[in-house]
Amino acid sequence: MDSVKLSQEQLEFQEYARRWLDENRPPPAPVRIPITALEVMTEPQRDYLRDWQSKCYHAGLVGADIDKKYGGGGHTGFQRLADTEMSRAGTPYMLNIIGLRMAIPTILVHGTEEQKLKFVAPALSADEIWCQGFSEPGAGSDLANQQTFAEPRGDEWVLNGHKVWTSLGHFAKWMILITRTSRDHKYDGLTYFISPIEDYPGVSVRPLIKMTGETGFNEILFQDVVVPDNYRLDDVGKGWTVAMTTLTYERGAAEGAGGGGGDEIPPIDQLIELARKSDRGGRPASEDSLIRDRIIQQAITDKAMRQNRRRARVSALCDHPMRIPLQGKLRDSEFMQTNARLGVDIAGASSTLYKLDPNAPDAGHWPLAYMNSYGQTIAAGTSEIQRNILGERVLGLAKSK
Amino acid sequence: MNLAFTDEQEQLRELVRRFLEECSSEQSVREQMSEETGFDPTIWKRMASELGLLGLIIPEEYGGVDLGAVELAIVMEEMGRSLLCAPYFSTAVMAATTLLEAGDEEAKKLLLPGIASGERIIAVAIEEENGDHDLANISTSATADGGRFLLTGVKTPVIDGNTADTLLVAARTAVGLSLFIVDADAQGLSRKALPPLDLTRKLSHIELEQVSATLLGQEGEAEEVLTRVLNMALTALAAEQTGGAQVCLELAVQYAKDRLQFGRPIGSFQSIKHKCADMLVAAESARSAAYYAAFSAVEDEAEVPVAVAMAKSKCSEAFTHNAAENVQIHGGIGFTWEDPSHLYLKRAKSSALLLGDAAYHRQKLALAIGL
Repeated sequence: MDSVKLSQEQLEFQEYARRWLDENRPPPAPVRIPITALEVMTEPQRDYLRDWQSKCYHAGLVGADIDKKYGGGGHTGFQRLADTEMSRAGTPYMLNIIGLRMAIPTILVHGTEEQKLKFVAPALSADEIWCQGFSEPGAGSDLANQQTFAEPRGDEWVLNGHKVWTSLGHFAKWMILITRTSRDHKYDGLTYFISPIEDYPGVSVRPLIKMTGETGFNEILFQDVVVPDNYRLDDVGKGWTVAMTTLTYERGAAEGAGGGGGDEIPPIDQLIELARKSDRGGRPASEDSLIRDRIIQQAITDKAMRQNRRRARVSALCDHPMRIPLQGKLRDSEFMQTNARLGVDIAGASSTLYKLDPNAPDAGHWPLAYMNSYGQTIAAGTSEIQRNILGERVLGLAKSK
Repeated sequence: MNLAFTDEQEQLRELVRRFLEECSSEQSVREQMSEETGFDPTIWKRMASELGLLGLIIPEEYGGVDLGAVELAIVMEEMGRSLLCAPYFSTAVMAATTLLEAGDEEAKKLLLPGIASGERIIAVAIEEENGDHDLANISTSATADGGRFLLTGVKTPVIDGNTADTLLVAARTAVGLSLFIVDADAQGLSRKALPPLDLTRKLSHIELEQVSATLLGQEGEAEEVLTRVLNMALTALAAEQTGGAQVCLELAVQYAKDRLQFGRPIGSFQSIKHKCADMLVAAESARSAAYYAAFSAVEDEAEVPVAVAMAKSKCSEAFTHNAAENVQIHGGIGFTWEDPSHLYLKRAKSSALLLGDAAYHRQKLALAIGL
């Protein structure tokens, strides 16, 4: 069902990935594994997922398209096949999602040879976990309003500031972050760095509690944190450009080089199954015409999104190169939210049982997914920011201010 | 399945777009929609002779150019953009497909060349006063009368029923649902034009009282034939809706750039910008769904029922949404007769209701995927 015909080599790899996943399925997790990597809280969760990513990496299913000298497989068009096979096999997601989806692609675009050689391979294997320092208390949708200041001192920089909503920060070895190096220019006063996090002098990581009661994200304070100049990504004053590269990958408008897998949009089958086992006045909810209609609306949206992605890969079908890719983040996140809300509604009153209650349908998956879906519509540029981007960059409407 | 168009298909799109820019301008649409016949016979003939559009899906041996669902989708999308006033959907899509699917060689030879050449207008009469889209509930009766049949019943709405010279009518015999060829001037047949909300597509109410008719295809086998006909018709209609949804987006965006209030283009206000962004998303999903249905018809027959139901549902909603938002974004001018926004809103609303609305097709989809 791909728009591009696979080469013999790719077909063989696809077959290999399928077989390998079949033969190397991980053991059942000893602890509950959260819905996405961004909610990983505990060390047993981390260790289980880190082990799995490492196995996949060494089997060639992660970093397949990355240059061999940086620790990748050196192939072309393999990673998407590996991701698809991982999703199909239903194996766990990749723990080091920020490393794979954001840090590696950004380093490969903007980094020095030395940086690529140092950072890429340990991120692929999950030996080193990454986090992202973009948001600050005063820089949310107004991302360029960065106040974390980096001051030059010889061959080093001294960082002071406050980053928030830092997923995986409590396990991270490294952070990609935007800092301010000049107060004279809003955008051109920004510079992009890699900073050590774990056990690093001046860095403090504090958990933030989400509305689900989960931790998994953090605030991180920088107090006179010394970072060498060779951890700077691209030029001083070019931080905004580098950040836009990261965001293009984060929002899924470009394919992450590292790979992901295990994060396929939950199939409609899950909703159908839930509707069949949920009761509505003595009959299955799957026979309720309103419920049926809502499920089918989701099924249609799901299918249309898949066709959009397929169409986006055929350049002749796009009159604006980013016309379809830039819709992805908005559509995916709102789709997931609607899906989760529908799941809650189908489960009915039993959804009011909190997560992990053994009496709740699907062990409380639906209310948890619903609450976490707000993370998706808010993070990486809110849905409102995404609509601004579509209006301004694709449709050419005037800037909002 | 490869959702990419060939160079020839792109050229077809270009050709049709240029032709319609010339022949289906807003002024010409307004002229035709105020006429009872609702189309320009000169342009209709040119569509046949210059572009071969009327025989697009008709095999060469019957005078057509023998192209398929993908090319038809391209042509319909362009027609949807320009609100072409012509009996194209009824004659060149529905009637041609019915004749092709019915497997009646004699009828093909008799009627298809006239469709391809632009000499015939043929309407397909399926739906009845109960407003039901389910073929199982068709109640018009056909009783054997020598080698022919006598039809009695009411068909409404029939697209282009009043301008048609021939009707293809679904009616029930003792054997089962069947198709018949009926001369529009036949004794016992009366038709009246229904005032359509969408003036660009003419509708008709047809009463049949012991009307003499010729059997088309095999008696009792029309349900299967009409299912395939409706799948093709819905695929074409979804493509037409996609064209409409896209134009509404373009009109709204242009207006949002041109119209100044509070000293700035209204598109700089997020309330307007976000509407436009949502219209873009709606237009693109409509396009994906419509193309998917068209490509399925050619490459993956098993997927057709799912793809068609999805396309009609998605495209109906997208076009209606975009047409309504376009009116709103245009403000006062959008509420006037003079502005074209209402033409699209009316086309959108009535297309959404033709051959089953979005919710109806979602019900069908639910059954198709086993819910």
